[in-house]
Amino acid sequence: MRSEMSKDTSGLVRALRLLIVTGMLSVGLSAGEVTYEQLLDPPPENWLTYGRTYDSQRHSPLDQVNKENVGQLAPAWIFPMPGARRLESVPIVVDGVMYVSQPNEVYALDARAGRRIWSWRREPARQRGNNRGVAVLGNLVYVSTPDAHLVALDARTGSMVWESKIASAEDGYSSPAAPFAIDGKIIAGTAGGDNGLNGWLDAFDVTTGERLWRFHTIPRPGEPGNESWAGDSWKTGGGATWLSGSFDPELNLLYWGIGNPAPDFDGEPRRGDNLYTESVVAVDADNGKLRWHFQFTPHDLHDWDSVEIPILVDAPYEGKMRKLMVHADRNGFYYVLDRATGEFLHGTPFIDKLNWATGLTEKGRPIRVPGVEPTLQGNFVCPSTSGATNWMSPAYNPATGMFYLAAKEGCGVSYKAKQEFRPGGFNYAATGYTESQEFPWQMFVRALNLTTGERKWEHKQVNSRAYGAGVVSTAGGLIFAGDDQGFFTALDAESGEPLWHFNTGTRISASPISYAVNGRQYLAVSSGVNVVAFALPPAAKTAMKATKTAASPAPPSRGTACCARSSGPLPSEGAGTRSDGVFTQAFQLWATGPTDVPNADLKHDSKKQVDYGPTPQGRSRDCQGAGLRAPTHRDSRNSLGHSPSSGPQANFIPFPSRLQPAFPRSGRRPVVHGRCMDFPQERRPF
Amino acid sequence: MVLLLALSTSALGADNPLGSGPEVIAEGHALFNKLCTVCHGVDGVAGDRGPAMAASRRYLRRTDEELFHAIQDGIPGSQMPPMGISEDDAWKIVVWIRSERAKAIDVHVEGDRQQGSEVFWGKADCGRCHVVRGRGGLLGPDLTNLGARMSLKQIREALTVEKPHPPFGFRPVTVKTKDGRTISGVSKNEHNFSLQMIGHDDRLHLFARDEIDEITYADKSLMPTDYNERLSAAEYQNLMAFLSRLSLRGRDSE
Repeated sequence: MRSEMSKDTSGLVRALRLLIVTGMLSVGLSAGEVTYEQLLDPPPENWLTYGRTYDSQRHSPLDQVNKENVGQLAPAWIFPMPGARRLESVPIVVDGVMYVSQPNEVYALDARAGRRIWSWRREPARQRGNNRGVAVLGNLVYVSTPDAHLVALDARTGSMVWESKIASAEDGYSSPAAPFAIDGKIIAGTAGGDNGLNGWLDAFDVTTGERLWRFHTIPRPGEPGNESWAGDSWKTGGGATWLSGSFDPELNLLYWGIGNPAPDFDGEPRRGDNLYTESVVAVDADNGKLRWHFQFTPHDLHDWDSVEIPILVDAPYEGKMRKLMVHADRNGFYYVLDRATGEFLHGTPFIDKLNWATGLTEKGRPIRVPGVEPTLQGNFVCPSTSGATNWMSPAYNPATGMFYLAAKEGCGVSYKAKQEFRPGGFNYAATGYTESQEFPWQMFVRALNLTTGERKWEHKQVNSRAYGAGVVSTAGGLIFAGDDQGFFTALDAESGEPLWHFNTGTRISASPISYAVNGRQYLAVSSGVNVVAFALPPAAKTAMKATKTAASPAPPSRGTACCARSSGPLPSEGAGTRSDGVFTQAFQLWATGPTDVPNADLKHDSKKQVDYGPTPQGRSRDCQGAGLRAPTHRDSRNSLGHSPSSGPQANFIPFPSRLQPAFPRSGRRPVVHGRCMDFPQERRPF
Repeated sequence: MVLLLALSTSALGADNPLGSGPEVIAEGHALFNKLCTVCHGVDGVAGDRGPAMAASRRYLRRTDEELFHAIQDGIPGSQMPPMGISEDDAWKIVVWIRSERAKAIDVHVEGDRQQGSEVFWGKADCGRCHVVRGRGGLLGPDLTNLGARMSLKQIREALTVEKPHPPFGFRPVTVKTKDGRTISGVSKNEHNFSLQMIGHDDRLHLFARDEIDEITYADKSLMPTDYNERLSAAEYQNLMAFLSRLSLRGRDSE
């Protein structure tokens, strides 16, 4: 109870500090260095590590967006990553600068405006792969690459300062995880477990890039745990470290989930428990020595990587304060461990469809059910190899005491075959799996009681069967989640009730974050090839302030901006409450960007306002305007591409051409003297 | 037809017998300016009738052999005639064109790299604005991979020819904020509603436009273009040798 109190106070202190900080930086932003002290206790407005804090709770202390106003949350900006495929990157935000990555590339963006500051591209980019984000410390941004190097970039320019080799790309290794910054060290891992490539965890010196220690995830001969591998099978044992981890600075322990053993589906060549695959390891941050380990799936046959992010929580357990580590595993069980000793305290399934074990022993070892192991003909198993959860991060809200995660229900059929190891990164899975026809996959967001794992609520993501986003918790009492249908959804942290959603249009495969700039809270998530940021419209903020403190002075008028943009009168300040105001507000937000109150000089002259310079070659702005939303208004539009603001379409405002091209680039539309030539129906470029 | 094909196939196997040493380049350069300028312009920079041979953009004829045959045989269907010169002379011209188009790291450059490095960090003071492998100032472009990105000609021009406008991302700017501060540096990006810059204080400064009172731009880039005057000939050549070798190629062959 006492600890709850102290948490509340620290929350207050943080809120106060946010006020002070935002007060100081009310005009412009000057990004500074990230210190280790900040990583230990991140300022509320920043998101400095993959899991926000070292305990990976992914709980933002920001509460401007709350249950009451989340319905007004709207896109602030969208940044399409050039050349991206599907982003899995978790953005990092430092004092208004956002760092996002994709394989071989890092971008620094203005986190208010979504504008690029710099970008870095690995030259030459040797391989494609995944990338899940960057780490920051001092003046450097750290990223690992598909060819398994760790690169340090100057946070202000993107200049490469050093690079170090984590593993050999020629052997087949890569490194998709976000690096992890601790005091003076950057921790980075490997991928390649399915290729029979043994993994490790490396620590590099932050300033020189020199490797300080290496922890081998597969014990070598003479090391404890090597006996858990039959014969020489340890040599091709796998055990990748393809996701980030957590850190307890007091215990000085790093907690890392380890990937699957190889060959994935054929256990014959590797009899034994196969340590430390499918385990969490607690590693001394000073020297990389193993302090303890706990194996979730001994002798795994289903490729159930245990890389899922472990969350560290100090909470009462059976009446005693304990340093806990909780982990929802791909095998379907939720685990509660003592993170000082590795002692198993509790475990329970967090999915309904689980047939491979009847439960866990007192020591936390699964009680196996025979007949689910992969065979030549295939065996039915729940969860499938795709797992009950995966790389998407869970979150913990100290106020509700709940653990939130993206969970997958559904089964699969697992097959095996004989396969010989080949060096050089060849697949060494010894066959694979299919989705079950009877029990197809279904995604949920679930809330579990922290210490019992009891399900408190669930939110079914209808039609979502592939992995989507992780979750973020905020002090506004909200959980934000995404799905493979592209929906970004706010859920009530207490009840799971959906309070707001936005269709981003493309699959969300990354975990969202929350940050603040100049006192304005944002939510951001990578979706498809875009990074999308959301915030409350300033009008909504104003309205709230007005109801709370009537005497507060009116902020710079956005209504004026709106009027300046149109060629006729439009509902101005306060119109957000009128029935026709929704569009106005959306337009303001869309056209000006929510952070921006337009330039004073733009108010005078509406022509100047929309003078975006010469039109692109061979195109007419008028023509592009006509390609927008209301073809019936083509002839009545004025030369600025704006419709007259009278009549039933008064609220229709075609957007200026530079903001939104009328046609996809590939669809060339003939232009005759600045007017649009009508296409025959079948030739329309839509 | 079959015969023609056979001929051209065997001819395509032609090999440069002269190498690509500095003398060959110099002779090729002289030959080009004697024979080719009517169409391609002096130094191949531009011509009324033929393409700018020394430009860095891509051309249809990119290999040595293709260039050689264009010179020897002309290009049917274009105004390019067979030049009627000796094979050696044709090769010399090929070598010169290749050296102009090639990235700096790929061509031989006279001078002492080590002394060039001293000029870079010392007398020329390039390191005040430019970074090489993490060392140096932040206002100018990172030069770590310069030799693999630019041709020798482009490097030479960067040092000696003033640009009409500062390049995008490096425009010198001074921002006066509404709260009375003045910050100078280079603009990394901007539009109607926001401006992102890096200051002389080596920090990033991000503004919404309504936070700004006044923006002043400088017309010229911060990059001096009189290095051929402020350095001695030897210093300049050594600096070129240093700059042209800056590359990330083969950095992790360990």
